[in-house]
Amino acid sequence: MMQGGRNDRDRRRREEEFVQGVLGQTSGSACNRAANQLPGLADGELAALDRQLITAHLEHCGQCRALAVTLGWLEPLLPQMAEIDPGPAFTRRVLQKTSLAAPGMSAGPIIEPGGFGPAGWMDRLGRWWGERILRPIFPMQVAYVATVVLILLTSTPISPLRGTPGRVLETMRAGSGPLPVFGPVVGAAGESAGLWITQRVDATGGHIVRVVRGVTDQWNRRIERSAPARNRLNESIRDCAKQLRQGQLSDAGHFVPQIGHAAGESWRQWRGREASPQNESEANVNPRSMDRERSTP
Amino acid sequence: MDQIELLKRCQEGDELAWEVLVRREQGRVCSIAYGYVGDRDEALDLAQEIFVRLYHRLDTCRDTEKFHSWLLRISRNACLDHLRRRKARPPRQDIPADEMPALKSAVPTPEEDWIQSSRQRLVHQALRCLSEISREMILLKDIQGLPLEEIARLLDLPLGTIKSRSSRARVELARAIVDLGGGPGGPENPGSIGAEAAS
Repeated sequence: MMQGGRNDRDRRRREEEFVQGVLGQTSGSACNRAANQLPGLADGELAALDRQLITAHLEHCGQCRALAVTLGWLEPLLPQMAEIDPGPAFTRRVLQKTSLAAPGMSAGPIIEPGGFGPAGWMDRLGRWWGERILRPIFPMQVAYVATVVLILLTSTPISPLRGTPGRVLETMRAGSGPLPVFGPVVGAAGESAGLWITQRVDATGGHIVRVVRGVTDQWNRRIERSAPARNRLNESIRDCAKQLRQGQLSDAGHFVPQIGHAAGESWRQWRGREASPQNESEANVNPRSMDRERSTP
Repeated sequence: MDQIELLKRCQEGDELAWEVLVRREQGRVCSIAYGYVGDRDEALDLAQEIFVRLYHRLDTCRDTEKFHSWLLRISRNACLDHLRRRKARPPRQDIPADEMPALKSAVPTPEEDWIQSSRQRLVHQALRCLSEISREMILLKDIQGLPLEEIARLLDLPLGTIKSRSSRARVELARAIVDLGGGPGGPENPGSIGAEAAS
């Protein structure tokens, strides 16, 4: 009896080796195709012939049989995983976070009648910003929007700053203006904006007009008021640059405090504070005369 | 209570209805979050974030009959945002537990505590071995039971693609389970393969 069973196993093994040998030299293993059809077999979606073919394959292939059985094992198990119990503390935390504590739980903020939740537009804006700022792509988006805004501001026909970059470039090339760099930029932008604002002021009238006019007047007054200090700053920078070009580094260094004083004075005048007499006198001191004073015993 | 009625009450600002909705859906939301991130604490934080997001967008749910699809969509987006943020952060230098057998403890980890069934733990472990798209297919279709048409809309892919990906994902999962030495042929169910195959 045992001898017969062993002979039977040997015969099957030889048959299997023969089939695998033939498949290896012809179409290759059918396991990939079988694996593709296994879900269809589990769902009962296969045609009768396909079903017979794959069943025949499964009778001889242990690996595919294991896959088929595992698929059947998974079928009732997966839907059971649709929910996980997070515990009662989770509910309480969610309700606290959504500011809607139920009776008996820790109280959240008062709910405004009529609306869903206490969130006003400031809260919504804050939340929106909080969500956006955490995204890695956010800086790229900001840069993109800023570029579009700049293009719109300087290129559209109704923009107050239309043509400003070109004019700034021209002014800088011409080398004129109160300040080497900032002067032309501020001057050209201010001039363009002023022109645009004045046109709108004349067209619309009313209270807003008076406010806008006040702002432009103040802008112009500030430019006018700070002009002498800016001129002094400009001169100091020019003198310093001249010394640098001549290679007189120590002489150029003497101009640095003067430039600092002039810049500070320019800023104070722009903000509306008068120059103190002491600062004024310090700002007007020639560095060379200071040198002479230092060298005199 | 009827889901549609409950949702309407929530939209009108009924805090008790909201509490019931949270209790009813928290298991599902936690399961989705855990399926995406694979870490218990992270999943809980993320699930809270999903509920906060849901709360502030309740009034945007027009079709109350499709609430679950809408909830799944919001959850999925929140999970993907979270994974994107996690990718942007420097990775943690964790030592795989398999490489440090001496550190293995008999005390159950939070995950083991959380997911009671060893079979479910095995499936979660196998899910982590799958590609992102396969894992998502298993989560949405086989675990959450979303119809294929709905998944196609959610992922913005053709229905045929979704069908084939779903089948492939199931086979991948089965293969991962077999490779992990679990499933019906594992130590817990010896000999069951032969029995089922014979039947």
